[in-house]
Amino acid sequence: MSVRPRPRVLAIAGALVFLACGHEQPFRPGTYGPEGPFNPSSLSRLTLNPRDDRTPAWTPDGEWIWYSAERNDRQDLDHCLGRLPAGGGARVETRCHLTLAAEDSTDVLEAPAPAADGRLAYVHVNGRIGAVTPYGGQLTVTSADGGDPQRILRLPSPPLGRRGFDRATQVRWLGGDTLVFIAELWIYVQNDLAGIRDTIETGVGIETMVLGAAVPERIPDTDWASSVSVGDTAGVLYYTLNGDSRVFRRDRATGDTATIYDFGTLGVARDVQVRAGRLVAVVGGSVTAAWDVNLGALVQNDEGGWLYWMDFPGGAPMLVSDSARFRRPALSPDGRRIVAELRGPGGSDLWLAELP
Amino acid sequence: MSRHLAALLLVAGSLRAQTSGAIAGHVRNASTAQPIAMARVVLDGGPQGALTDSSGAYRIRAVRAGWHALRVDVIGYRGARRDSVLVRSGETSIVDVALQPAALQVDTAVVVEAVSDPVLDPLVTADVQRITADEIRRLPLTTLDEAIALTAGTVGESYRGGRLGQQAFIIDGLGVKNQLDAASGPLGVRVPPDMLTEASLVTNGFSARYGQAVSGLVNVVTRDGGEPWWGRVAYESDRLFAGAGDLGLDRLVAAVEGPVGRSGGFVAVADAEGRLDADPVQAPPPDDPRDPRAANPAMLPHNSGERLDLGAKLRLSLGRRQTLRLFALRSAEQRLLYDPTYKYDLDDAPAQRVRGTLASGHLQHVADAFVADVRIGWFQREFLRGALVQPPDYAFGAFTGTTFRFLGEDLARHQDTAAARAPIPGFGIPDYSERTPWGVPAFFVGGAPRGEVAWNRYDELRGQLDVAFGAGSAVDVNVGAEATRQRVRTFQRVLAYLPADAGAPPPTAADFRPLLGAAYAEASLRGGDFVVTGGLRYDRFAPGSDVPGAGAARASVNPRFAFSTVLPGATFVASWGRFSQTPDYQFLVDAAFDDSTRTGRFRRGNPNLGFEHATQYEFSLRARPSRELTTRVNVYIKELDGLVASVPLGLDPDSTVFGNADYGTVRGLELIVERELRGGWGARLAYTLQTAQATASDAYQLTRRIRIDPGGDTINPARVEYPLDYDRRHGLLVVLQGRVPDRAGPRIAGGRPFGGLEAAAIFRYNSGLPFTRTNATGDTLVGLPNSWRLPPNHALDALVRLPLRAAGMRGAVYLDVRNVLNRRNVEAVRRDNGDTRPTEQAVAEMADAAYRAHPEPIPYESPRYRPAADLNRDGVIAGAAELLPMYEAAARDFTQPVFFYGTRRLLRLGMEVGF
Repeated sequence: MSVRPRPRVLAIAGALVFLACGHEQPFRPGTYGPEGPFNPSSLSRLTLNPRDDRTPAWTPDGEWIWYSAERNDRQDLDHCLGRLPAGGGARVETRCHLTLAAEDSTDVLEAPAPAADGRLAYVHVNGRIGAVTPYGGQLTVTSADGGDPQRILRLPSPPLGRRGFDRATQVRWLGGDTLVFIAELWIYVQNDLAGIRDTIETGVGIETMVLGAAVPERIPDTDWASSVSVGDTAGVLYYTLNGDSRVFRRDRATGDTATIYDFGTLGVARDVQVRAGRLVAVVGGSVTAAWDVNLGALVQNDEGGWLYWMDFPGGAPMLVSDSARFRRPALSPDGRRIVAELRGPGGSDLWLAELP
Repeated sequence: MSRHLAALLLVAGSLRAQTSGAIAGHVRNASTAQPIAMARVVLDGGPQGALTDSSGAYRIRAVRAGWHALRVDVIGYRGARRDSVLVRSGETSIVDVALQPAALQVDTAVVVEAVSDPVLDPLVTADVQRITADEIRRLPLTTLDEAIALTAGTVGESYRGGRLGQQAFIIDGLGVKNQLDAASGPLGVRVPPDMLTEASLVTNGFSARYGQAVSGLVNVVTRDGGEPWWGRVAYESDRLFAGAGDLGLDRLVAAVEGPVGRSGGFVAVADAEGRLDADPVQAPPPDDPRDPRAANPAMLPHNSGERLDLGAKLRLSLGRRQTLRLFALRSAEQRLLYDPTYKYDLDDAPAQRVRGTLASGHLQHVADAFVADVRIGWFQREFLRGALVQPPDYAFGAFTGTTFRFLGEDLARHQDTAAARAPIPGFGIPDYSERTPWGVPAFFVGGAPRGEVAWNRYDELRGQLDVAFGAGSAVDVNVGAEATRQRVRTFQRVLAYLPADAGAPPPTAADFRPLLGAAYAEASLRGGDFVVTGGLRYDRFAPGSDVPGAGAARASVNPRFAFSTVLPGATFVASWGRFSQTPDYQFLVDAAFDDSTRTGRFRRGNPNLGFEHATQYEFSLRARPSRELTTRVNVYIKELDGLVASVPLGLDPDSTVFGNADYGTVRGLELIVERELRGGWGARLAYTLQTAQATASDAYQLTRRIRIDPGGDTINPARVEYPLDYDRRHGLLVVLQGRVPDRAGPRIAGGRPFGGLEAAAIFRYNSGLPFTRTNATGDTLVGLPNSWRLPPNHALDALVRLPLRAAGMRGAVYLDVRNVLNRRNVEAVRRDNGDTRPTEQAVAEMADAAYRAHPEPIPYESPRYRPAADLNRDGVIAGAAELLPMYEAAARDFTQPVFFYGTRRLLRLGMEVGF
């Protein structure tokens, strides 16, 4: 038997063994934040920010929650958009308006609306630090990575055959490149002698905005709408009206509108969401609605109410908590969780309710 | 006068060219020992040769360094041939030949073995320390830079106290220099060691042919290619070592060489190396187990590097008298740069890329009366530093296989300063990192890169003409000239996420075409027992009319003089020379650069800078006490003048301008003892005693107010001299080599596995370099600059190499270990306390200041929230009791000493195969 190939084979085998060994790797930073909500329970607190956290919204896949958080580490009192894991824990992403010019003004990013393709629509308002009224704002859409912000609509929006409005809120995607939102008037009340400073946000209608279009359009018969949400399909909208206890459903294609539920004596209904066989709404609580002759508008002043959920259709309203007032609940795509603003004396925080 | 001494005096080596030496000797009758006149001595069967004179002496000038063959013929005698004559650059090889009369029936002629003795050769007036490619492979050395660092008087790339960038490179006789920013940047091309014939460092008295160097010349002679065809492939790695022994090294070398046609040659080398940690340091592990570095303190992340060096050379004979050499070199290196501030946001840390190309043509004409060399060289270098568009993917080890792309690269290349005034796309605004174990907003930065984009490109086209001829039998004359057309383009932008003039310095750019010229003449006269060498060099540079404010061209005349005489068993050399160097072009133009301690710096250039000068006096005594042993003692004084420094114009530190404001003195003593590798072992010991002082060390260093203790008087600017940054008082280098004979060692399994085993060790001991102390805020010096000393350092490197032969191929396996003892050498300290770590009080003050800047509570959902810090478990980290300990931990993490230490133990296991 010839042994001549052996040295060559051994050399090649040795080289292969050499190459097959991997290298050690340098250290990498770990993950250090908390996981899960703070003190988890059926109603657990997601945010403990000493400042305001507001306008939560679920991503279509149900994995994340976008919301607006007021920063406590900057003197310009900015509000940024943050993204939380669905079950709570530390923010994984924060988007702020960070430019050199932004340091001398307050920039508020709020009402986030994540799309299925990762785009994010939101409202950006800015003003002088400490001022009661802002300079102005815009409805903005960014790409999935937060870059390339595009102004969709300048705010306030002028009258265009119907009443103009100051702000947009409850922004939703209707699919494709169309947004729907509540057009609001913002009424600034300031009485220095009485030491009163208050801001009243009141809806004046439901608008749709196609990206790239010049102006938004008012959905007919939605004047004085207080809330809007999109159903399981983009062709259906659910909404409420100022001072009204009813929840309405509208077919966008046909324009047919129907009352799907009336909370009756429980109080004024708003912030409605319907999906996955569930309906949630804020009802009653600290809310008043009256016609303002000076403004010529049905003004609803809302300081929060009781949060109800129900199987829909056919279920009865169930109270999430009888001791806390909420606003702007966000129902998860699977209908099993609600994230909402809990209004307290120091401001609002986000709470997560697990539904059976 | 002894015959040996007479022979030495008759030796006439050529000083003309650092790529060539000479061959000389005597031809005698083997029977009668009488000299033979008119014998013809022919070099390599080509046109070069000589006839012996009446004393039988001959000399062949301008012999290229390397191995050659001689043939001696004369009527009436049997011819003789010597195939292995080694010629080293700047030296004379002595080949004495004894011929047998043709009538006698003797098979072979008697030939005295060729001897090249630079130690006693009086014509070698330059202080030359050389190393060959073969020696590089036998020693624990990997690169040319490491090999040159073995020379006495060297501190890194500083030679005899010189600043970085005060050296020049000669590659096969062609000058190459990064004239743009040699003081702060690399050359850009690297000659792979496998392409070398030899490399040497010349630190004084070097020929008037070469200039542009105040501290020294690195002379590189590359291989010419010869017979037969051969090749080498080698692979080195540390993969097999665990833990701190594996720093992610892979290196692959491939070389091939062989004849082309009847008298040509070809050489090609590829040398690629990748390291996951390209700058490993022997820093102590962190004290806090929460620090992620505790998991692997040996390697730093985002510190990888990969380089590729490609070299090729073609030598063609264009007839009997003309030889053409074409040479090309391409180097590319890209590095990730670990920045402690970005420790937790590594993707935002900076990176760097350097690429260089050198192409040259050399035509040599050998006539009976003279040798002429015409060289043309094109050198290009591009440098880029900043933030990457995306983090690299590693394909194999640290090799990415792709070219780094940088944010703002296109803007920088186009030097679009107008567009660059706006924030550059891709740069966000960095903020305090949220990814640290401490959570608190302090010290560590992330979210976006620093905002630096630094780019420059340097091109030069150089032409050289050199002529060497004899004027009688005792005089060698060399004359020549060179002209270089250069182009410099730069771009710098800092804080690129901010608009210029709104907190950020404006972007700077430059584009100008300097012109360099030089001419020289040099002659060596050989007397009875002495040699006198004199030369004159004229240097001139003009920045070009497109540098705003540039004045007339600057010129400098630099004489060189050397006297040498032969003493009993020794040679004494006295030399004096003036050297001039064009200042780095970066000092001629404005610069905006990132200063990590401040918010971006701007320095105004000075288009009217002149030459930097050095005048050196040196006395050398060289002796050969025995056949194997040589000793050298050098004493030198070098006076520096016109060094570029920062000159303040006002109270604002950024108002400084560059000027030829500094001067200084370097004094030194070098003692070198060498035993050649004979009888299985060799040794080299080099000791250097040196002082190097000047009025400033670094052109970018600000001239600060200097408070002289204890009176409190302020002197600004100071004209006091103080130690240069490279003032290393004592340096000791010991090199030991050993070799086991091929047939020695125990017999195992029918063979002698340890036969031919080679081992080498290098021990270095150096006293500490100076440093400057400041007060806690860093704006006032404590004592004079550089009046404090770092501790001494030492290191031991070793290489063990075992040749192998299998399946008809030769090869070797080797283990290379640097810093065998894993010594932790301190190479820098903090200026505020002279230690590597801050005091506890300093840490507490840092933490307290950071806490007061951001005392706001950290709620549960914040990415800064750390459960361990929430002592009362209320979901908010608030108050000094909960926040301050985190700020203190962050301060300790941030101030842990990483780059204050030298290299840790490095292992590499290599295999090579020759074919």
